[in-house]
Amino acid sequence: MTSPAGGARCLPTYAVLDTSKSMSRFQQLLNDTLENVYDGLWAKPAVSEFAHLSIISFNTDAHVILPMSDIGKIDSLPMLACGGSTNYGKAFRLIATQIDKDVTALRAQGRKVLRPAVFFITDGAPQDAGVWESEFAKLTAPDWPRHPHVITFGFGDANEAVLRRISTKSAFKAEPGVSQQDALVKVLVTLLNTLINSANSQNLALPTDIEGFRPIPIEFVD
Amino acid sequence: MTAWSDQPFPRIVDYPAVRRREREISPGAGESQVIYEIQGCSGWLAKIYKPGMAPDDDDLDRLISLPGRLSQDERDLVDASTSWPVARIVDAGRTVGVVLPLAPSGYSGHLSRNGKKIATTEIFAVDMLCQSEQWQTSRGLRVPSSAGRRAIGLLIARIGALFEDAGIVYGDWSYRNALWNPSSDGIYIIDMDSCRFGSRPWVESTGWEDPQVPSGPMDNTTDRYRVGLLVARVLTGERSLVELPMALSRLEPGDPAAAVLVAMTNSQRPKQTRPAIRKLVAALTGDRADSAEAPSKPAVKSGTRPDAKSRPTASPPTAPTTATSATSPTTATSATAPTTSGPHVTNWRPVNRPRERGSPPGTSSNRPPPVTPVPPITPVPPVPPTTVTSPGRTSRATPTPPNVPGQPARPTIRPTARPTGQASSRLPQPPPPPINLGGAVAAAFGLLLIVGFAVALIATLLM
Repeated sequence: MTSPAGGARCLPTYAVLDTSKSMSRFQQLLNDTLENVYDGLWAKPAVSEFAHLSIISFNTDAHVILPMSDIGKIDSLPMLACGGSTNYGKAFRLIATQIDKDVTALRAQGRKVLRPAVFFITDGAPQDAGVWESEFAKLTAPDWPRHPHVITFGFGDANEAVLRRISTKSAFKAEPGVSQQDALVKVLVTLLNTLINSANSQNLALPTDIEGFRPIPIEFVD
Repeated sequence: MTAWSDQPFPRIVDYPAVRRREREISPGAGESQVIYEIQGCSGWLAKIYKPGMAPDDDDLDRLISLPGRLSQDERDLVDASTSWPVARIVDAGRTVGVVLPLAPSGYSGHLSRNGKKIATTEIFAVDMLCQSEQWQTSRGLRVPSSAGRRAIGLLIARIGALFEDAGIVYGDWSYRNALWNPSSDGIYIIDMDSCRFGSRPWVESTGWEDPQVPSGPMDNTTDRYRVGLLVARVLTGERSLVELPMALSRLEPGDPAAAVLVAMTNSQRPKQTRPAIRKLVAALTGDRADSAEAPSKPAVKSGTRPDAKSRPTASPPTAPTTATSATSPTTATSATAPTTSGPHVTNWRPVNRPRERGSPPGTSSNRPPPVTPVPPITPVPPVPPTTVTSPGRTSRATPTPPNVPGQPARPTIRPTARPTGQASSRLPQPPPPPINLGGAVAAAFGLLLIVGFAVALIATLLM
């Protein structure tokens, strides 16, 4: 679809998944749920055209699982495996690198690129204190024109204070009574619904309420 | 199938009578707070508005009762192809919602990938029709023929003409509000309750913006533009505004529908002169006399019917005759299946299944084979060459060695190539206005006179 200015809008979206050891017991569920999200996007051309998706997993290191793609043109998703520690810093650094590459590529295709959206999904606290803070600062530096919106979803042992600190838009933590399985599924369904709503409005349209989660107030300094 | 003609409700329903939910269809979007199937009323939906977002009572009542004044043919069209509201829901004297028929089952179902059915139920929208053959076949959809596309375009035009004749401004013509039944090539228009008579507030619909109405109230001239755009996309399968004029030029030589569609969607043409949707109906049915593209009548004034066609004014509702929808065994909606009805996913759980390896990327073009361009009825300038393109392809996954215990986990499969899609950075080229044949004849006659005069003058000078 072409906008009057000549290029279609595109929302680069990064699903950043914690695949550390604590997620091992949910590995199959994580893969199955991702597959369902993929099915949902693959079937909706208006959504996959607007919201291009990249999947990044992180544990001791960070990997690009799915490069930035129009999901409607992808035949399959790779499998995720869990293990290792929870190093947020590696993830933040890789996201920044990918954003630079992906935004450049999308613009070269004539797309009008919106500010990227990072959906950061974790079940634990960072284990690389002293590193992740500076990497996050670089990723979200206001003087970097491509700095993304960061939306965080935490469950299990995720640290609420950290979630609040690494969110620029919204932060959600699973309610204590909600099982980790249900929380994981809910988060990924929320990601799918967010992309559907965003495609309808052609802008990032975030949920305000997620069943089983409570929003964490974010502090803004200016 | 539920439809306006067989609805069991009075025109105004008390909320407590329809409050109980059989199942939620959508948690709400836009002006709706929630849409659900009413318990005990299979096939009937209650759409509850957000506070302060309900349409005007008089507008709703007028819309609800309107099919009773239509001809039988028109009412059949309403029944088969629209989710026309049948009752206003009132709570403590205040309108809180409407009752609507649920789309027949052929308008949702399961896609498939590599021959295997996908568990999630999808709504089949025209969005899926306006795709390449490769896109459709890769998802297990039947590829519509040219005749099928024309029949669908005609159906959309007939619905649009019915609205226009009744003074209704629908306003939100787009891929997502027109559902498509891939088995029967039926069309079903939803979100009917938000239309208005005469004019309606501007509604944002990216990709469907009327270039002459960037904001402010919309009247039926915008509907003419958007219906033209939708039908043009249905007929050609072309989604890009840039490519659409060329795609229209590839329709059958001499096809009157192409000229009407170009005139309806020409961004330079004054909106008041856009052809009426009825002309598109005539063009698509091959009625060249009625569809000849000429200056059209001004837009309909608020709430008036321009045609003098007599209609029964108090005919009782009758059962629908036939529906264009049909349920296919492969597309039937399971009552228990997860659904993506509306803009949201609800009641959804992941399905445990073995992961499949991706199939090799298709080698065929994702567009129909090129057709030698034929001179269109309305000349369209050649499109300049694409300045930025990249070949569309699919991503492949390549296996990597298994993880070593104690080492950081790595993904077991990593994509090695990034998919790219066709893209164009060209600016839209407005199609030129259609040729006025009457003017051409007059010009030729004038030229003949001038030549004759010149010959006579030269002869006089030589003498």
